[in-house]
Amino acid sequence: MGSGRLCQALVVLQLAVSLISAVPGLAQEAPGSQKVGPSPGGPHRHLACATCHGAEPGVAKNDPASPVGRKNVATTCGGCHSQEKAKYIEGAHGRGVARGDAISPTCVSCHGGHTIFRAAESASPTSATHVVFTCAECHEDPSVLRTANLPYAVVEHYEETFHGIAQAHGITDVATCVSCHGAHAVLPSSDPRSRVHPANLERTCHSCHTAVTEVMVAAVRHPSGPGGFRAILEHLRVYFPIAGTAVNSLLVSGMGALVGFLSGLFGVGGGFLLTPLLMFIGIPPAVAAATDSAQITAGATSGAISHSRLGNVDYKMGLVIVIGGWSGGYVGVQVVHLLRNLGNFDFFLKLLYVLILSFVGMTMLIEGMRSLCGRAASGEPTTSRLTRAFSRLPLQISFPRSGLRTSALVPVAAGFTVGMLAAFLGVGGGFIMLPTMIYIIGIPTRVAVGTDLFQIVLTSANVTLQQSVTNHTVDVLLAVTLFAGSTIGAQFGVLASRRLRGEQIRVFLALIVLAVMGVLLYQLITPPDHLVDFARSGGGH
Amino acid sequence: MRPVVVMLLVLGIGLPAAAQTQAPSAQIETRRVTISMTFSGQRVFLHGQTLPGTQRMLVVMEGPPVGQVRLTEKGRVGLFWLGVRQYKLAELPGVYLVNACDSPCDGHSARMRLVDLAAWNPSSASAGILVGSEAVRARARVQSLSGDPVPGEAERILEGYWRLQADQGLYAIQPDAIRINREGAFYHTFALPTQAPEGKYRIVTYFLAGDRVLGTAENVLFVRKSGFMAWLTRLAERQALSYGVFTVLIAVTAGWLAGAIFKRGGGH
Repeated sequence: MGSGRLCQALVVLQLAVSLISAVPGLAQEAPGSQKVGPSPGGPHRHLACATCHGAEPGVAKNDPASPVGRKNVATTCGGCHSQEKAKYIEGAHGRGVARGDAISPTCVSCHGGHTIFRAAESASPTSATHVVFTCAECHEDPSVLRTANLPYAVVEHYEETFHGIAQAHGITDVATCVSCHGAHAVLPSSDPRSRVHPANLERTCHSCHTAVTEVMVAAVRHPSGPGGFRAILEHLRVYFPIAGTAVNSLLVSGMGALVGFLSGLFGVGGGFLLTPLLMFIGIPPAVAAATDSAQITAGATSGAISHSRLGNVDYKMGLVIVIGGWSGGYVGVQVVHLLRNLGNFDFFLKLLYVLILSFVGMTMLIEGMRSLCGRAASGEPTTSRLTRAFSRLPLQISFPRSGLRTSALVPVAAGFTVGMLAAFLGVGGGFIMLPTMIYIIGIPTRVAVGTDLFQIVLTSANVTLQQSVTNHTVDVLLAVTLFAGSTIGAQFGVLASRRLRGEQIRVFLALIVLAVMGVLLYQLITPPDHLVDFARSGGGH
Repeated sequence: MRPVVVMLLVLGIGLPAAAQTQAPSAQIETRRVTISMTFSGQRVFLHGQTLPGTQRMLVVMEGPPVGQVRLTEKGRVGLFWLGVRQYKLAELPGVYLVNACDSPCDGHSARMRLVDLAAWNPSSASAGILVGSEAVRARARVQSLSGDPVPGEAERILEGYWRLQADQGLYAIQPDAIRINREGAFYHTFALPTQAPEGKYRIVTYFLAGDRVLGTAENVLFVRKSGFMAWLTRLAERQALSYGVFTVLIAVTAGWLAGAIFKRGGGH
């Protein structure tokens, strides 16, 4: 009985072994063959080794004659996958291999050698789950990127997009590398045949999205070049905490340099230019105006020190003007608060500013041009009747540096008027102050530039302090980024001022004054982008 | 008897368990967005499971309220465009982002444009939901600073304010931004712009079938500055005088340093 049962069991076991060995694929699981043979469940499970490796035994993979060598493997695979082969040899990968590039991928680089699965199977390295990692094998390797001059950070950028985030969460129906770049005919984006060439991008997005916008296309575009220019610019973006936004720091410093140059050359603060420029790059108006005053302090200090070294600063005159300027600024701020409820107050002030700038600009331009053309005496403008009349007023003070003896009331009144206008209009007022010093008070041009810078240091420092305490709108980090450019720009401005004659400086200044006037007038007569806009906070400076 | 008891126990436990799997869920990738010096906006990923029968979804992300906002309305007078009226606005959210999807929720017909949700609200409103500009309008306070209020001006001003915020990416409606797959799992992202203010953000997910709200889910997101950014902001807010003096000193020192360097370098 016992031997009978043993016999039956042996028969059953033998039958089972026979059945297993009869099933194709399972027979391949014999020890040893599992390591090198096609994957048991894969599509190549029926293929004999010779199908890929050739009938000749003993040909090493690195032998040029080997059918699975780098140069021949595409042809070998193409024996069955002819369409894929045709695309591959046209693509960048195939062409690289044909050239003999050691880093260009072959079929097996992406699909594997023996453990090949269909792309739809999750185990495949080309499946939606794994393909990003497969591409990243080379496209994240710095040595490959450097050798092949490939764009950097493309995988990193993908991972930051909506597609990348969803893919990282295991979602398999979002776009991966191959959805946009193609699977076999992978071409550089500069090639017009590429699916990711700028001209073809929209069509590529259309393969999934029915409606495609520029925003959508821009969002998926990788940074260009090896650490490309866009990538560099992106890395230079700095978050400014009070402004509450991120801006390119190089751009901010460049703006500072431009304004600093004008400051050093003409003795103006440059708020008229810098505030709108900052607003243009996304800094909130209140922060732009307040931070502007801090940067003007730095730029003007730099310029004033250099002018002081050249003997161009009349400190006594500067202090007298500042007394008037501060008083005018204070009164101006109070008046603004009282008059703002009248409705169109801001508009009329803007119009007034345009008129003043037109008058000042045209007068200076005509006078400067006459000097340049030799119709008037070169050098300083002649003392006007107004200047002579003012100089007879009481409280006479001598200003040796300016070579003047005049009434203290004149610079105080000039400072007061400009301070009040500055408070009304929210600009520094340098454009009005400098012509006033030259034409009304009678200060020589170069000394006027230096002295104006000195009084701007004191005035803007006071405004910075007030804005910090009252409105909390001064962004010190933004100011420091601006200083980096403005302090150096101011030095070059001073250098340029030394090479120019007084009348040349006046003509250039007149042209800038007229340009500012033109911009203001243009803003007044052209329809605004937004009929509803944020109200500007006037009375800042 | 014992097998019956076991069966009842299994059923008893099993029924609530089945019900639990039908509860809507919405998970947020992160509860905290940190603003550092390199912050340039962030995508916030949300995913979860819809309720059976969900035909539409609305997800609203609302940021902390801003203080008072002053707006000016411009008009043409003769040759010139000038501010004709001023307004003060209050009770407005700092961020208002809406992701939505209508049947079929395939997320593939993404139209990233600003649309008025007027077409949505009649049906949504009957379900007790106000979404989009109407939701903002419903709670905002608009005060005219230039004379008596004029009928219809509040709507006009709020529409203008919406456009200003939309330009900065702070207000947006994306009608087909949510993807729902065959298994009922949904996923979408909110693009939090660089200008996003600090504070507590509330994200409410509505699962709708026609006019009916099948369920809601709520998430919270905290946006806050960190490190040096946080220190500077607190200093500017809490010790304004010290901050102001500090800024002026830095400005003067920077200017003086540049002058000294150029002198030493023989610039002129």
